[in-house]
Amino acid sequence: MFNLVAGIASVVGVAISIWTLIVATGAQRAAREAREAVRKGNAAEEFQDLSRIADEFLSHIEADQVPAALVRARDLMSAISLASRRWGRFLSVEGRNNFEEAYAQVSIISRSLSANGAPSTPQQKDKMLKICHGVIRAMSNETGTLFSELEESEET
Amino acid sequence: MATFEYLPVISKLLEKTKERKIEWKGTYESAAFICALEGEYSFEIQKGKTSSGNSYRRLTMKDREQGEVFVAFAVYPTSTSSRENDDLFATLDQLFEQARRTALDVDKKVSDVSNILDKI
Repeated sequence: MFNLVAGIASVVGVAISIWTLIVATGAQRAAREAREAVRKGNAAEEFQDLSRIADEFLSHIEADQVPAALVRARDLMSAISLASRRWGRFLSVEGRNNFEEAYAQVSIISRSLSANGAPSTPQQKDKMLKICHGVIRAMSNETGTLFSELEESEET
Repeated sequence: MATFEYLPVISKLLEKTKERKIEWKGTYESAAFICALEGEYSFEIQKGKTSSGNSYRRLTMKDREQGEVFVAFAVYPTSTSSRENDDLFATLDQLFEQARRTALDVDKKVSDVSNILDKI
C-alpha cells in the first residue's frame, strides 16, 4: 500500500515538475517576446524621428535656408547611420538598402549645398525637393512597417 | 592596397550592372549615381573635372557604418598617365555609363521613342 502511494506521489511529482518547466519556458518566451516588442517599438519611434528630421531638412531647402539645411543634413545622416546600425535586424534587405540610399542622397545634396549654395533654378530645386520627399517616404515606410508588425503581434 | 587591386571587384560590379542585376539610382547631381548591396554596402560612381580641367571618374565604396572601404579614382588617359590609371579609367567609365543607363532607364526610353517615331 505504502509503495503504491509512493509510486503515485512520484508520478505526480514528475508531472508537476514537467508542468512547472513548461510554464517557466512559456513565461521565459513571453518575457523575451515582450522585450523584443519593446525594442521594436523603440526602433519604430526612432525611425519616426528620422522622418521628422528629414521633413525639417526639406522645409529648410524649401525656404532656401542653406546653413540650417546643412545642420539638419548632418543630423539626419548621423541619425540614419545610428538607426541602421542599432536597429538593422528589424529591417528587411530592401529596408536596409533604402536606408543606405537615403544616406547617400542626403550626403550628395549636402555636398552640393556646401559647394554651390541653394539651387539656382526652379528645376534644380524641384529635383532636390523630390529627392527629399523620397527620403521621407523611405523612412515613413519603414516606420509604418514596424508599427504594423507590432500591432499584428499584439493582436495574436 | 593600391587602387588597381580593387579592379576585380569593380569589374564584377560592372558585369552585374550590365546584366541589370544592380539597381543604380539617380541623385541630385546629374553626374553621380548610387546603389546599395544587400543593405550592407553602397557605391557611388561620379564623373567630374579636376581643378586643372582633367576629366575623372571616381567610385566610392562604403560600409553600413558609412566608412569608406575604398575610393577608386582615375583621370582621363594622357601620354603621361600610368597604365594602371588608364585601365581603371576605362572600367570606371564603362561603369558610369552603365549606371547612368540603368538609373535613367535609358534603354526603355529609347525604345519608346523609337516606337513613337515609327508611328509618325
